[in-house]
Amino acid sequence: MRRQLGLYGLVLAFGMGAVGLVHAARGPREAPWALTYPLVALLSVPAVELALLRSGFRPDRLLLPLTAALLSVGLATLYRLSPDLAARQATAVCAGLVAMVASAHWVARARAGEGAGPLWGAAFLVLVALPPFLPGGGELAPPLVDLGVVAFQPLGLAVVFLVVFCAFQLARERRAFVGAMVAAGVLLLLVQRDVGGAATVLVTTLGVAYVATGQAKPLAVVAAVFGAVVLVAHPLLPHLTPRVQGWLDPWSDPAGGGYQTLQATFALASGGLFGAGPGAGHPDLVPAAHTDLTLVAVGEEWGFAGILAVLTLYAVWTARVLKAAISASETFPRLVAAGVAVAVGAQAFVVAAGNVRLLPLVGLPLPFLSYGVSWIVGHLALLGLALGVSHRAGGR
Amino acid sequence: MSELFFQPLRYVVLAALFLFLYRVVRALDEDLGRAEREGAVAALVVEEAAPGLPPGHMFLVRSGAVVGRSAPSTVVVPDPQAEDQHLRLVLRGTGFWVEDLGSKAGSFLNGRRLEAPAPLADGDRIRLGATVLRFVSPACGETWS
Repeated sequence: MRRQLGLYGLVLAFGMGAVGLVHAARGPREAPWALTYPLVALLSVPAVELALLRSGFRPDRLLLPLTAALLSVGLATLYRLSPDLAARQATAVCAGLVAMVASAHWVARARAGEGAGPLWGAAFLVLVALPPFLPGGGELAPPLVDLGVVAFQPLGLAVVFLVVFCAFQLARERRAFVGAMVAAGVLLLLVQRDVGGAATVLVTTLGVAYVATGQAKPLAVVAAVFGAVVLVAHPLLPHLTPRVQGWLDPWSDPAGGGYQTLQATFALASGGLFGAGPGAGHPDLVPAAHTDLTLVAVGEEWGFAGILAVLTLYAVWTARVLKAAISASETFPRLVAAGVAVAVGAQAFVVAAGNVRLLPLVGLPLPFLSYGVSWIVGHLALLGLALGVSHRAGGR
Repeated sequence: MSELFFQPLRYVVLAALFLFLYRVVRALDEDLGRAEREGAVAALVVEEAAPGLPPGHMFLVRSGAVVGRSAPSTVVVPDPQAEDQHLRLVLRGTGFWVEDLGSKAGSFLNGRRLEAPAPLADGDRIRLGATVLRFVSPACGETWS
């Protein structure tokens, strides 16, 4: 318990210090009460862990502090970009913590043989198919649903149902059923022109399937078929061409397709080793810095050191979830944890690579860092699944 | 003025994040050490015993090993004064501890009666009934195959 408090002390020293420095740099135009949202969100993570420990829950002792560190980097960066966004993100974090506790307790008791397995797949498909029927913005890569009160990408929640569904069905060796449901989901996403989302769904499923079957070859064939379909169909996905072009050769259209890439590159370059300092850079000049290019905003103001810290956090986070998967004694929790590790780890890797121009941008947010109500809630729910699995395996 | 104050402060804040990462890596390292120790082996060497157990006989033990007179015990000593399950060795932190399991005759560590679990050092003598066992810790450099 004391060691846990020591870890949280350091996380909070960083998180509160970073938010406070940004607040000071923004000057007197920011009302002090704007600070309360991110600070309350940061404090509620150790509070929730304390409550879990009190109730006899024994989850992995590093996963929640690691997540708190990622959340504090994200909240400080969002507060820098817009205190309003940080307040919404902080609210989403609090809602996500509730989802996390619920999913942790659920998976700690769940059995593969019972419960409404196929319903999870249905929930996944409904969420994926929902956006065209609801008001929202169409041009964003994963489609956005705008309900007035809250705007969100249903995919962020759909991933949670996908992981549970795959683990449930593959633990009972219903491979064809999983294949059919996921293929339908991928097709629905492609029809909505969301290649990044389709890839996320596919990679997560393949990850769980690999852990379940131990066979790599058929899964590589599926991935290759997906790649071929995207290549053949890309004339039907006209928004892809400028994105790939802007990635390969941003100078061919510096004011158009290449603009975002160039601004991101300049922002990263100006960051250097230790960055411009919180509030001293210009991350607001990078289009979509709060969703797609959060790591660029981190790199500009915290430099290479900040990016290194974030990437290390993701690496250790993923390793701890995989550890929970390895120490699980039953198939279902093992597959759940593997799914969580792949879903979050692969997304962090691909999006971070997109931020530093190793890969084209996929239009997805960085887990726990970028702004996105459904993604924060979804990823915290996934974290809850991992915590529940580690508790089942003896925890700590 | 505020620059002078805030510039160093941002390095302090960043240092807190890296100190956190350092603590996390140390925790990972401890986990690895614990996994190794869970396989840790110590030995009990018979010094004095009733007939049927030759002096010099060596028992390899892991954490949780129970010494007693009959079968559920991991180390069985043919001693009429010993209980069926007399005492237990457990790994706590970095070393083995010995714990009496409520025996009537009691267990003795280097001649002193055990009232509470006590840490074991290499060469310590544990007595139950008329049997004396010497504790050999895995770190002492003695080799066995």
